[in-house]
Amino acid sequence: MNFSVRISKRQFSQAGKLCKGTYSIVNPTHHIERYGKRVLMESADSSKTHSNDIKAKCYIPLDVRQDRLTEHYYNSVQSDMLLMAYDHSETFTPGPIYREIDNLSNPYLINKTKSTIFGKTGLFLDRYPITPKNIPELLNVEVSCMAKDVNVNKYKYITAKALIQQITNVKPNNIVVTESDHNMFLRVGSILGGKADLFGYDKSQFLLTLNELIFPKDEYFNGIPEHLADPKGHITLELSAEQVSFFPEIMSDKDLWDSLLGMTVKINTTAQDPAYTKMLLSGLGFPFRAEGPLEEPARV
Amino acid sequence: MLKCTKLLQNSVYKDLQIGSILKRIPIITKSLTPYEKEYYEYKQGLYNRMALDFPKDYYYPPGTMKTMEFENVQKPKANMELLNKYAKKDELLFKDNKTVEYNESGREKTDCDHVVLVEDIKNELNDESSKKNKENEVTFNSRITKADKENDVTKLDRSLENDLYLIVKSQGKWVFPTFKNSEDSYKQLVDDNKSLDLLSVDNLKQLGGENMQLWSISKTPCKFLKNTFYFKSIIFSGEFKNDKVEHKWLNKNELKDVMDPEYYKEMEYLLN
Repeated sequence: MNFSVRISKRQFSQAGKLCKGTYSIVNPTHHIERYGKRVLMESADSSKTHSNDIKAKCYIPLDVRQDRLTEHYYNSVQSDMLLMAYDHSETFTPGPIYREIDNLSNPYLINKTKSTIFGKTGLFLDRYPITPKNIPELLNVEVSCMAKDVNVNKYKYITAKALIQQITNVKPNNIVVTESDHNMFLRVGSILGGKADLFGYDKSQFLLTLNELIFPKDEYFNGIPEHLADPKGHITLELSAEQVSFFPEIMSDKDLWDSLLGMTVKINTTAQDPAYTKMLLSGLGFPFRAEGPLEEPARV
Repeated sequence: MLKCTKLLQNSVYKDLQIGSILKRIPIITKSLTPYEKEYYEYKQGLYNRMALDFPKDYYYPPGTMKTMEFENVQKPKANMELLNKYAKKDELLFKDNKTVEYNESGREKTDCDHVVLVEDIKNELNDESSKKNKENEVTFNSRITKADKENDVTKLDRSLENDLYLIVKSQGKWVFPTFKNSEDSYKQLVDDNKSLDLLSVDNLKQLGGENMQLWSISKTPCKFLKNTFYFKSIIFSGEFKNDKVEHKWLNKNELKDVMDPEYYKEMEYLLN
């Protein structure tokens, strides 16, 4: 009978047990995998299902209503983008150079994580020619809001979270300090603000109100600067406190808010290139303006 | 596409033609099928059931003016539909000589079940404000337009749900508009380092009038058929006006009946 033994008995030193007990380097190697026993319980079944499954604990129905934005995307934007992004001479252009290391061959690298070996991840992604399977698409929208003067009054984060919840219809998570900062009087664990991930109907509803109500109301808005699109397919927008006040949920009862805060909105797409993210968002109706060149590093 | 490059290399401008597939994108959302309608209703029901109850104490804390206003408004209104539903069960209705209301799941109604917001009833309280609001009431336009009722195919404001495509009658057949240009115009394009799609937009404006606001989707042709490059473009505003040429704005289903079956087979995959 082979019992799974937690700590290998073929260790000579005590320190070895503590550091990396579950792997043995001496041949024959038996890699014993650790696992949490709790996962095998029946009550954990609901947490193992995908969050989109109705049996999952965290399930929230996303396709609650007919969606104007996604309907427009599938009806006209997608097929148009296939034509627009077509390049006759285009081939695969690789992104960052990965040094592929077989971890098991080198005993010194066994328990190291990816980042320590590979260094920083690359500036831009691998770019494949665009095919019908490959057309850029909206993923999700991340909205985050940070409160001011948290070191003076630690409950200021509540207004930041309430702002997001009121606007996006999604309950935000906390943004927490991870490294203490003595100059700013910030401790580890103190709450700075909130962030929310938007999917489905909430996502498109937020983007539509942003594009059709908030930007047109702003006097000084000339369009989204082009260079905000980063090489990994994201666009980050900074909304000022005045722009946030234009949201109809806040405009209706402005006296309720003692102080309004700015927000950052990060729109994530599957595009492999800043030019394609711009193409996708302008197809969905966002106006752009050219200010600096697009951030496109030289190809390898 | 290989064919295109070969053609251009040999510089055969004589036989070259430019076609344009001009479309108007849908203006309103698609009407739902009964299955889709039920699906969305089911999902909305799930969403509502999972939502928290109205936290009354949070929004209307006890001992404030706001709660006084709120509680004044909360008159229990008899829901006649529900009463009729449980009318047969006398035991449920007349319990201790008091009428008891039941919610949809058959339980006794609590405070959460009938909440009336002050803002909703404000209009009824103030008669003057209600009169004003009726004037400013939003009414939706109908999804079926005047051109739909008259079945006027030459106008753009019809079948708002679908994409509309411009077709023209040439040599007794309904086709997408195609144009022949002089050799000089092609050569000038090559000198200016411009693409053919700009020519297709110019040609369309010459045919249908300058008031059309057009936008060509891309410089790559979407189709090559019988020495013609087809380019896609979108019309945003304006109308096609030409007395000499017969034209129609049709959606995909209607194109099938009008066009040549062979021609339609070639073009079908380009249409939405």
